[in-house]
Amino acid sequence: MQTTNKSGLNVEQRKRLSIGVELVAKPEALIFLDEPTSGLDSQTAWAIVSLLKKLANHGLAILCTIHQPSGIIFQQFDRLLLLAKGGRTVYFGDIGENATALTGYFERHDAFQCRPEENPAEWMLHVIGAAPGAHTDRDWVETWKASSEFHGVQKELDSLAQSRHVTSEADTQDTSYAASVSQQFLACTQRVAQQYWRTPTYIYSKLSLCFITVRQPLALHKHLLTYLRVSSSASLSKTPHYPSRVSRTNSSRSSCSS
Amino acid sequence: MGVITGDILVNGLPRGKSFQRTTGYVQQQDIHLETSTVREALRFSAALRQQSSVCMQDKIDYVEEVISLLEMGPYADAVIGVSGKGMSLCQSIAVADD
Repeated sequence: MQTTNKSGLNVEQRKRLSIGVELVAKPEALIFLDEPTSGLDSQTAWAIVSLLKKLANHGLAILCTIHQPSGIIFQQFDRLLLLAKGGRTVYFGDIGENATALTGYFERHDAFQCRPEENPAEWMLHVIGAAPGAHTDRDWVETWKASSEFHGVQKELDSLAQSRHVTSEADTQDTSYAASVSQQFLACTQRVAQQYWRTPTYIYSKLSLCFITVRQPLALHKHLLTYLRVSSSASLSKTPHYPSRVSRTNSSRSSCSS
Repeated sequence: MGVITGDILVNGLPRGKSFQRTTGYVQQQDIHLETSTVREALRFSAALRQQSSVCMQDKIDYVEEVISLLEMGPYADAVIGVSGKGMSLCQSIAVADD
């Protein structure tokens, strides 16, 4: 699994690197992952989600979108924000041990029971009518807005907004980039130079292109000379011709008026 | 598509210009420079995205910490290479269909 083949890193290693690239930037607020398990097989998906769990246990806030998680992967997450079509909240809260907090909420609102062998992630989509072939008569968005869980969330948000603990805003400058333009320029130039050094075939092809087209500049040179000759003669002839042309138009106008 | 309105607050305060610096975004596609190694890619990110007040040695040390945390030690010096050289997911589904 951990071996590298000649064509480079495998999918899991690449995904780990993507996460690593974000981690080394030391994000203070949170890490957001867009479907980290999509395109991975179940074994690899499990490895990545366990890694995320490990990072969360290290004290990092992780926000992650996920599609069709298996039951075992779904268990790794602490809280769930379930959105219906149009981005409307259906549930926001703890998943709980064996997803009991989640299933409990839906079952209290007359959803059919989630059997122990069922995957709660699939079950909840069935309940809200989002699974293929599923149908629901209940408006789960309205149900959420009327629930005690929703009011609990609102209360918590209000208390968060009131606390407004001012973070170290003074020492962190409010700029988009951490590095200065010169630092960025240096780092990028170095990286590009290294990239060219490591792909000599690119340099070779560029060089050979130069040799092949070496006659091209000569032809261009000839063209340029002719062009210059023509344009210079035109500009020379322009000056003496100009007054005569003006006088000609004047005369034609006067002839018109007469 | 629905439209959601509201305020975006971070710790009760509206997010500032530096918001994107305080968050990490792992994209769905794993896009990396194929010629660099894992360690170089991490150092590049650390050098440019950590506070400029942090000295380079500290950033390099932190990169090593992350490598061990993510268990990337065995392939830290491997070249990233091109993805999708093997069979893509769609191709394997097509084969399964046949």
